[in-house]
Amino acid sequence: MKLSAGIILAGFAVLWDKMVRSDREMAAIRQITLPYNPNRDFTFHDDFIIIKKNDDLQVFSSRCTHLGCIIRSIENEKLICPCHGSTFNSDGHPEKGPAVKPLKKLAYQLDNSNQQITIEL
Amino acid sequence: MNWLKHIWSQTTWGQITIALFLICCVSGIFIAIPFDVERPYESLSQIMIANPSASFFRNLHYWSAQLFLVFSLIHIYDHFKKKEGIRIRKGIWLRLSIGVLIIFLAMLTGFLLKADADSLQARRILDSLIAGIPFIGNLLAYSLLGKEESFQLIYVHHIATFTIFLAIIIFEHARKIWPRWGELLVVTVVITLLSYLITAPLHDNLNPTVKGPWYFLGLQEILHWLSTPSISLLVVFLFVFLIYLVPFGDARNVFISKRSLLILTILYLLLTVIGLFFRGPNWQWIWPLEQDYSYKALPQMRISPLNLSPDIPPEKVISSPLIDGHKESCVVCHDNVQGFTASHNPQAIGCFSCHGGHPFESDKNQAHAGMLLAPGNLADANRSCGTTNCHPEITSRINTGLMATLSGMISVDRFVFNERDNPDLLTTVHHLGNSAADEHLKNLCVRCHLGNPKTEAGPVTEKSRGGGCIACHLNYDQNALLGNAIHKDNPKDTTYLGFHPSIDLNVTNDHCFGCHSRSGRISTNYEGWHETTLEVKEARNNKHFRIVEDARVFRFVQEDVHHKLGLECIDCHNSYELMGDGTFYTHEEMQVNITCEDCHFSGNPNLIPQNELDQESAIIASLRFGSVTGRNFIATEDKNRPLINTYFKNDTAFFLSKDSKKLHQLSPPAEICTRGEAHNDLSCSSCHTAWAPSCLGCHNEYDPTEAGYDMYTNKEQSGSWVEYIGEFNAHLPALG
Repeated sequence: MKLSAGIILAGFAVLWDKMVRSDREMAAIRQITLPYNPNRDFTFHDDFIIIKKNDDLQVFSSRCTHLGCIIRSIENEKLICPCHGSTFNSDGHPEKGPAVKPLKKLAYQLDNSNQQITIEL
Repeated sequence: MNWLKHIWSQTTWGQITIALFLICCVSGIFIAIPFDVERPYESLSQIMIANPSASFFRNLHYWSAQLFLVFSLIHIYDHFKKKEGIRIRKGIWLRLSIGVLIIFLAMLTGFLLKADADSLQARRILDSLIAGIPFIGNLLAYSLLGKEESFQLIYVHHIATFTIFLAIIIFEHARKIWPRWGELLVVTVVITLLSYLITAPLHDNLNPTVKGPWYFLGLQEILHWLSTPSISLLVVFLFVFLIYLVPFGDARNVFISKRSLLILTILYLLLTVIGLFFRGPNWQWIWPLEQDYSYKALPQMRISPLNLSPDIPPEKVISSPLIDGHKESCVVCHDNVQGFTASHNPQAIGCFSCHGGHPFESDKNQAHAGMLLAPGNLADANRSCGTTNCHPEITSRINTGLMATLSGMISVDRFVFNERDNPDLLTTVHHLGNSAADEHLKNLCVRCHLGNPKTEAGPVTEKSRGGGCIACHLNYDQNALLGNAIHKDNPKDTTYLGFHPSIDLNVTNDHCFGCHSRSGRISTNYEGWHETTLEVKEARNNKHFRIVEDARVFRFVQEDVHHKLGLECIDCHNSYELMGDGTFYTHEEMQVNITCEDCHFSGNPNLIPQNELDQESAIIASLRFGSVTGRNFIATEDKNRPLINTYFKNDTAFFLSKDSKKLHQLSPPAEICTRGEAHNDLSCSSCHTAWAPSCLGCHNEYDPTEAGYDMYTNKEQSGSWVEYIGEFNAHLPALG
């Protein structure tokens, strides 16, 4: 009896997991293209931050690596998480905790002729 | 009153909790009618502005839920205290223990459904925390929160999953779901009163402080200290486990469980107090006496009785624009105000982002409470011009500029008074004390710092001093001037409300005049005017004289050649010179980086191509001149700052006046200026200055009987430094 119940429950759990995985995959956005302004040193979007330092361009996920809060403010060239105060430098490295991991780097393609940037999310 | 005493003597915490649960459920059904889960934040703001009845039900739902949590915890404590009361089967007690967690989840999902800045960040934290659980984290997180942009699943869990679970648990535990009429009546009265007086909070999405619900501020504080946040989940489960352990085992285990719970609860309460009262923007520590403490740290809740007949027609709210995702009561009434530039159009940024007040109020007086009449004063610039979405990079550095610190003026004055042995010491106007030099400055000089607040509506005039951002960026057109004048004559006339002064980049000589027609008098000298000791009546109707608003009389001598060509102060000075560049300077010559040679160069100029402009210069250039793609801008030799109104093309340098847009070709210096090395150590002004003002016999004296004025605090005082004028001269300047 208990074994049968266990098997049925396990079956439901597998189905539950498959359902969620499949739904998440459908919901995932793979890339986004938007206008690129070369004069902006820091560009904040909901999901990413574009940082231009001299001629070097980097795109980071705007999610704090501590608990995923969106970072959207900068003070003295430091990115600061509003929820718990983690601070990252302009290379995405944590300078003050609680975050210990660097911001996730995102791949991008720059189309200079059309001033557009495509970011892989 | 006897019936009240009877209820009080008969009731239990559990009875009150059940009554609160019932009110919470019923009010939840009512608030579900206007609430739109597809547009949660917008619909809540709309409810608050235009639908006071719905707002009341929302408040009822909010307050009954908060008190349900509080009374549930008191009820548990009461159970533990009265040990004999705990005779519950293990299975039921396990479900009750889990029920404590479910209460928090029901509350938290309600908090998430606001979808404001607080809620969105809380959702991400919850998502990350649950996803961090090994193996099943992602599955649980997605099953609880659903798709990132959707609130549907959270809504379902809030109104069904957790609520039904709690209803079952309550029934299983109490063997009843209906409270007694007496308790229900008393609790309803109390909650109704609370709901009428205090509106449930909604973040304005502008305040930089992000906080979770009050009962999770302790957890937020714990997370601030934890680099491995999943540990916090262990603390949560430890709480639940300890609750489960309390009724079982021998007396020693029960004692340990209870004491552990008590200690953990007290510690958690302490952390909650820290999170609630001592944490501000970016979760930084903040003391209650700090500037803007209540705005930065405390929940934006206040006693403001509901206005059941709102001043705002609902149909106007529907058609009003969305400001940062929400409706704003200000733009519903002030819907046709003219005078703005596109970037400050209230249809895009609202009124609240500059003027403060209460954007979700339906009552006129309450909506206007606490407004800033003149946004941009430096004391509150971080709440207006400097909010995250606007110009924080400027307001964070403007206080380093000399126009805000007056460092050189103060330092030299103290040196002259023999109070310091060095005229180059760094200081600020905010550190003035009561020494003779400092009193001298306060009586005669320091009205001109940017931090001196503008306190009245009206244009920048020759008498204006200070005013923060709007000292330079405020412009009244004819309509706004007329409206302001009518309003001054007749305060009840509301014509002025239709015409707003413009906040823009048209920084004219008139903006500089108030302060810079004093001291070195560069504003008047530049335009060719030299101050005299004449009386107004002696100079009236004489075109060779100019009478300024403070009744000083100036004589025309000779204007600067640049002024003759139509150039204004702003044509040469860039944003980093005027608004500071983040570095504290002791003297003006260190902060100003433009020189004559930057425009009048020989050889090749220092250039910056358009695509390498810094962000601020690029924005200003495009706002002033439209597309500047492909331009090569001349940059200053000192600090390499781009002069955004210049460009170099086909070996020729051009200069555009910033306000008039008049084009000039820049000429190189005369051949004699650069021939050989004879003039290498001379500045251009050595030869090209036609005249400079000086004064003979001017002196200052302290008069203890004089009625004085402290220009820093803007308060009258007895005893003052007095300025005595001798003779003003306009001669060639002395070299050296």
